[in-house]
Amino acid sequence: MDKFLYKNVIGNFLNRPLIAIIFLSLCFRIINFNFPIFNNEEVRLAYRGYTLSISGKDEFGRFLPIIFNSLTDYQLPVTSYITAIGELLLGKNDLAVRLPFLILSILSIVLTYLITKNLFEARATKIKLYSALILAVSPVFIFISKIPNSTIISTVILLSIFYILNCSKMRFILYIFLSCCFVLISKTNWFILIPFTIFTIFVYHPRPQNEKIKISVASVVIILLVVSLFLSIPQAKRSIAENNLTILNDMTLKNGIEKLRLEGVKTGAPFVIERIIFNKSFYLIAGLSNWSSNISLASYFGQLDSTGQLNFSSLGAFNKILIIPFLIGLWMIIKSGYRKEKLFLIYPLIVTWPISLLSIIQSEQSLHIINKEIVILSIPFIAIIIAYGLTRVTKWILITIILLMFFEAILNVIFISPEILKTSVTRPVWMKNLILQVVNSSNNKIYVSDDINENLVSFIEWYSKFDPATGYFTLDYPYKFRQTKIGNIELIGFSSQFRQCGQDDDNKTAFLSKRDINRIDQDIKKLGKTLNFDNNKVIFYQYQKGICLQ
Amino acid sequence: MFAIKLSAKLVLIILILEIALGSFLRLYKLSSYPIQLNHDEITQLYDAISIAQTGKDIYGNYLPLIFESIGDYKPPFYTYMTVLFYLIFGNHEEIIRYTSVMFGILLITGVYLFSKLLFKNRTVALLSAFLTAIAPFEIFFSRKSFENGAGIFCMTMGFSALLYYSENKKKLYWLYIGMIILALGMYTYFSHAIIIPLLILCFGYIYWKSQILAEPKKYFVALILWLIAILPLLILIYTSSEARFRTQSVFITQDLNLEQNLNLIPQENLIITSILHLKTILDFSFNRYLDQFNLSYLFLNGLDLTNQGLLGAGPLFPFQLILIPLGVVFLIRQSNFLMQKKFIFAWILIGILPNGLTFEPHSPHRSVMVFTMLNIISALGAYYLVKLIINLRNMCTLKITFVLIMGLLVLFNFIYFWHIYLINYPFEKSQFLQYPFKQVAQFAWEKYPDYNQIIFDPTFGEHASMFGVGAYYYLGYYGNYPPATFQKTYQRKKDTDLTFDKFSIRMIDWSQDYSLKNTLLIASPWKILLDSISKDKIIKTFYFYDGKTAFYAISLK
Repeated sequence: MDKFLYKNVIGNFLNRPLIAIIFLSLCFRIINFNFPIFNNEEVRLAYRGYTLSISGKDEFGRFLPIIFNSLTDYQLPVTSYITAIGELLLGKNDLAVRLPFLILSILSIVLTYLITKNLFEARATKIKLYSALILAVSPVFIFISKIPNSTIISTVILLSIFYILNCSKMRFILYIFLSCCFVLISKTNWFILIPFTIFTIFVYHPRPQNEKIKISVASVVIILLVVSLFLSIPQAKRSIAENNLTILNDMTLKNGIEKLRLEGVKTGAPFVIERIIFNKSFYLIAGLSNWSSNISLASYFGQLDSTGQLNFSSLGAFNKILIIPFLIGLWMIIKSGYRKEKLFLIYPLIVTWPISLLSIIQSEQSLHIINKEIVILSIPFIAIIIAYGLTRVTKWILITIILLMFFEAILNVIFISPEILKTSVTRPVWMKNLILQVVNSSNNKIYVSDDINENLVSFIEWYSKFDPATGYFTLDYPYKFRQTKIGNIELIGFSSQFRQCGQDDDNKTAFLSKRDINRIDQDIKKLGKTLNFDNNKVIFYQYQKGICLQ
Repeated sequence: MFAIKLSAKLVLIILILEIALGSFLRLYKLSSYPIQLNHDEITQLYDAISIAQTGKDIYGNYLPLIFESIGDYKPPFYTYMTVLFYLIFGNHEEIIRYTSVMFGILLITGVYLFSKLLFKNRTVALLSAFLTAIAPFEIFFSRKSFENGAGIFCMTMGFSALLYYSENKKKLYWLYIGMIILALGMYTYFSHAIIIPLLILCFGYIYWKSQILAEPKKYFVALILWLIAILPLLILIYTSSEARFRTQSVFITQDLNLEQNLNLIPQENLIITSILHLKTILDFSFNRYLDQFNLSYLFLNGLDLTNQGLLGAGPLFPFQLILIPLGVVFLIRQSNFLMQKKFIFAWILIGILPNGLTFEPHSPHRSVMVFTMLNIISALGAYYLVKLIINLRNMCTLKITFVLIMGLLVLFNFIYFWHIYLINYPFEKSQFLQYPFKQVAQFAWEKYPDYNQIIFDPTFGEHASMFGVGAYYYLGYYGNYPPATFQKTYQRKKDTDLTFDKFSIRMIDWSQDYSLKNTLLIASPWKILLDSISKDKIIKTFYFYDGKTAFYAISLK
């Protein structure tokens, strides 16, 4: 194993151009290192990593759990434990949270380099460097290398699996280990592992018969085992239906089909005809359409994530100018690529196919909200196609493209203030100040309006000196659990009722938002102190007394 | 590379059948579908009648080169063509649709010729013509009086002439004819004024790069001819404030989201601010450009015929999702098609440009030329598929099954689109066709003698209210109101407050207007407090196509 590692990984690290690219990618990631500010799920992961690192317990006090909580779904364990590693070494701070993911992103660059080397063999000299360079300056890879997220881990593991499946000597134990890690990162990966493995060992890089059987059986067994274990926990079916097979419950489609049928019947068409024209095959069409629209030019080179969760909100996965070598690369591979190069084009489709099981989310500005977590898995494969294209342009065009790519990348990482302002709701840079004001305001009961963020508790836990042991719950399998109390702080929801405070009531401090300020007495309203955050977009009113809840 | 050959006679018969099919699909119940003239159609129709009768548009401009519309300006071509049809056929609603239908039918031949000259293959040309005859976007835009079709026809014919000249260099007149046709195409639609010169440039570079240097005189003459032909257009663009206004009003910087992004840029350093400003616009514009290739938009719901998300109709049929990639692969793998490949991809990349520069996220009417080219690529894909099937030896059953499946797929796709267009579209989108403004206008004229004034508040909507534009055009046209009189009596205080004759088109203030006397008031439930009036005052209710209430006519005596 040591020899294998040295020859294939460490040996490549000593390659000078690759070292230069790694150095460059570190530079791009270190500039404005504190950007992006954590969002509510990342801050939850950060805090969980901290509690795991100090006591082996999660935020609810469960010892080394396998299933974690999030606002939208169950969370599988790998991401939380990787976050904990950084904090185990460096303590409770942002750097400790970001560090493991930074290392993983560098590893993904090296792996892409190695894969390209394998794929193009003798012609790989330039292509492998270009593909590594493209990922080093890719906006999305820069972004996800600085936040705790499952996507970068999935990408690294997937690339590792691809790499070992394509090595001349099969390392079966390593494959089992990586596959187990892969399926314990995200449920989406369950849908990818088998087709990815089967396609690789049967079509792309056919292996000896006994290996084919061994690996296929292993991948199927791993998936069966993980799925059956998962299904044994409460709410598991609901979790899969609500997050991984949403197309089957798509009410927009169901209602749409019924409405269009009804309109036909109203104009006199027989219902049977209407049933034939508007039928359930639309679910399949919708799924395929969602899939194909996600892996579009617009996601890769235009805008991948308008919400700013996993990428700069107005950028694609790659720098814009790279669309030219991408199209050239695609063209040249179809026209004159070897069999293996042509088959390589199928990988972006294989790794993104679970999108076809998801319902379509539309917005005013875009026909589709991109399922970026899945699309990102295909990015190293696309980078290799772009790199191939770069080798087919003339020297001057190549220089121009690379210069423009760097120019855009530099602008992206240096001038981040518009991005911070744009995503100030989802990534609240002002939250720390608010939390510190809240926790330092009183030792008695504190009320805080809950409409500024869905997961205020995690922010309080992360930004204050909160003792994890005082916040433990007795929850075995928390599914979409939303905490509303933490220590002496209680969150006020829209359903909370205010009342007039009596003489026996202790003085309670309250931080009320605009929503709640309109629900209290006019006389008390005047006593509040105004707190402004986020350039006056977020206004809170602080009361030291006079606010009581029923 | 091409193996399938058809006799000239058979080709002619098939082409005639395709034209007949295309004509039927464009002319079938033309006056009934779309169910009512939309505001673009009614403005151009009434202006055309006004020009025919008085030589002036309804605002009193003498033979204008750009037509004022509602918050917008229209290129002149379509209105003047409608003047011709008015003079020939007299006053019928559907004459406004004749021009687009005519060019829609002519385009079938145009595409045939263009494909034939481009690929030198009749089968591909016939397949292209067939797809043009039945394509959803062709039918949709041909039937809704849209000026773009004429421009595309000019482009296919113009470039056909240039392709023909490229093959037959001695026939120099084809070069000149082509350039003049292309110049005419630039008058039809605003974006064509930019697209066509760019395409000519690409065509020249791809096909004549070496010849231009060798024989510059020939091409210089062609260029001069083209410049002379577009001179009035150039004068219009550079001197008309209306044309500039039109360009500015649809430019991408009008987009509210982009404006918000621009406002986030710090204003500390002028150079950095300018760079970031430019970058933000480029990012936004580039994303919009690429989003036009969204497959759901292209194949499922891009024509916006329903309110049911993906359940709609795209500009192209879903089955073309198989044919287009096949066509692209086929094209890439053909080594002798270097120039054709370059020109086709230049056509697509340039054709999408207007979408990347305008404020609407998706505007299929600006991409029609691209859809036309995608149809041609689909035809190549279909041809490739047919060739693959023919090459399957000793697999007769498989061949028949495949042909049957493909045939059924095409048929089902077409029936689905036709159903959506004829049945669902009116139900789902009647509001956006200003339905029932025609009935309102006819009723208002019926009651014209009984009242001193008629107030129409066109604020309406099924789920949210909006100000229905162009109400005065509907009133003028359906009342057969002489344009000459309209030009004299029409007064505009602001865009939402207009009067002519007894009519006042404005937003009502129910608390005040309720007490008016001898007035017919037409307004939607959004603007009337129904509880405050006795029901006998409501003398008529107007409905949207799906039966929901749109307007009430209230008699205030």
